[in-house]
Amino acid sequence: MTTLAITSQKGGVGKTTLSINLAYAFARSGRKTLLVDTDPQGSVGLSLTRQSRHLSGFYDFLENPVMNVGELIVPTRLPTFSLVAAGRGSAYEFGSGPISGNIHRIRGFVSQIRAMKYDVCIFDTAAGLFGVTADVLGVSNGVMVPQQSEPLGVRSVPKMLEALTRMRAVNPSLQVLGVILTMVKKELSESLESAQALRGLLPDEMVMQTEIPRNDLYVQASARGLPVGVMAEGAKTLAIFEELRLELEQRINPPIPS
Amino acid sequence: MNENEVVSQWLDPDEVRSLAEGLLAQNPVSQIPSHESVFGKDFEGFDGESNLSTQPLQSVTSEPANPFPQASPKSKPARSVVDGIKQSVRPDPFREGQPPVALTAAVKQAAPLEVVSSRSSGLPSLPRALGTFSNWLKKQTPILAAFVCDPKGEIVVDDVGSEKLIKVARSLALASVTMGEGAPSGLLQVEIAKDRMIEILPLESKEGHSIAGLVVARPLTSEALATICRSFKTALSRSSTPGE
Repeated sequence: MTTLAITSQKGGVGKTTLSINLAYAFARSGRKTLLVDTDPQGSVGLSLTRQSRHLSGFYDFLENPVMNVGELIVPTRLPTFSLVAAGRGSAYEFGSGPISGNIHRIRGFVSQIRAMKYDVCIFDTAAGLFGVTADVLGVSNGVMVPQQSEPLGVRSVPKMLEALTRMRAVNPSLQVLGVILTMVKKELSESLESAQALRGLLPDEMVMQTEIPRNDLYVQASARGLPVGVMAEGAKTLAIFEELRLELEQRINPPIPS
Repeated sequence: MNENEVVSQWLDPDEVRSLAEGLLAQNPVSQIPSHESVFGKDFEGFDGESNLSTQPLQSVTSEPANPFPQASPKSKPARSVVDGIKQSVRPDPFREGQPPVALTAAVKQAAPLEVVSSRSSGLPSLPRALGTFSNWLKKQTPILAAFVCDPKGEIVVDDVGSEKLIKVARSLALASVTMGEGAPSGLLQVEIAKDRMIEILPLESKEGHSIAGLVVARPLTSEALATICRSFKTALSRSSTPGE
């Protein structure tokens, strides 16, 4: 099983949108995919299920040592796509240490979903590489970093790289799959310049070729509780995430079994 | 002014590139490679058994395999293992290679010890201390996996998942302590794979030496190890306190 974390130092860069639609792309490819919301704001659950308020989830698992992951899994209409909501627990920690103390429990979480024969597990994380997010990175195979295509996004890159470097000390097997530009607005020169600046700044292999454009469709999809690709108007966006999935699969080592 | 000039006003492009290349340069360790050759021909090997990242930490309640019940470190099995891996054992490993990992400030200051439910259950002090210590270890240290053996060789905690590795580690610790080959604190370290090593800590009590094995990506600092040993002693003293 491949475990991927979608994370960033900065908030509001499109982590949840990326997580939901990437997980959907993996599920559509036939991989048994689990999307886990580790952001205590519960954005995945709030995006995809109206019952999210009442669902037990990831943070309940952290707090309850006898809880099984199987109790938390929410199936979707796509049989290969399931999710775990953030839940109602309060184990979110604001400490600045490289690890929050939940890593063993999270390792147990991964162990259980591996036993359930999932092919891909995607963790949507809270902003900031500390606390529970750091623990999630401590057990993940790979990390992808969405970076908004705006000047502020580019300026926050050093802190993101420093944080990832610290995480590599905790988890040397963590593969940095790349930075992905999000919220790209081609009609806005500042957005395009930011994208170019980021590509000029980082090695080619660190920046994904695929870019996620800013699109009102994400808001509309969220309003309906759906991945964008499910919507009638979503074919073009679905193709972008399919392209991203294929690009990721070329980078992930070892490869995800077909 | 082009975009690169704009960027360089806010950050140092060379520094950023260097950080990025550092992240790309390190080869990911997708699985734990076997380094058994350094252990000598007498070592049976643990390649393929290790599942350090897959098993939750759990208490072992069944009768454990006890490869060295009160074994003399001079007995043949222990000696052969010790001799076989002599090159891999460094009594003071904290100054080589990558910088060692320190515990967080909060841990160093507080060394918190949870009150476990068995605290007032009438158990002898050592099992209670080991239980308390193990809980603290799991929550407060940046370890990848751990095992704890009591002085009788019973595995109290195990998420290492390799009986042979635990066997080797325990043998080493006992040999070090009894034969006087270790550092005064009895600290040992064995590299078990690329970017994986095990810190072995003999934990002294009046019942004998318990052993903690901590699988880490980088060596812990001597201060961190001392904090861990101190935590065990605190757990021991608290669990021995009458009325608690």
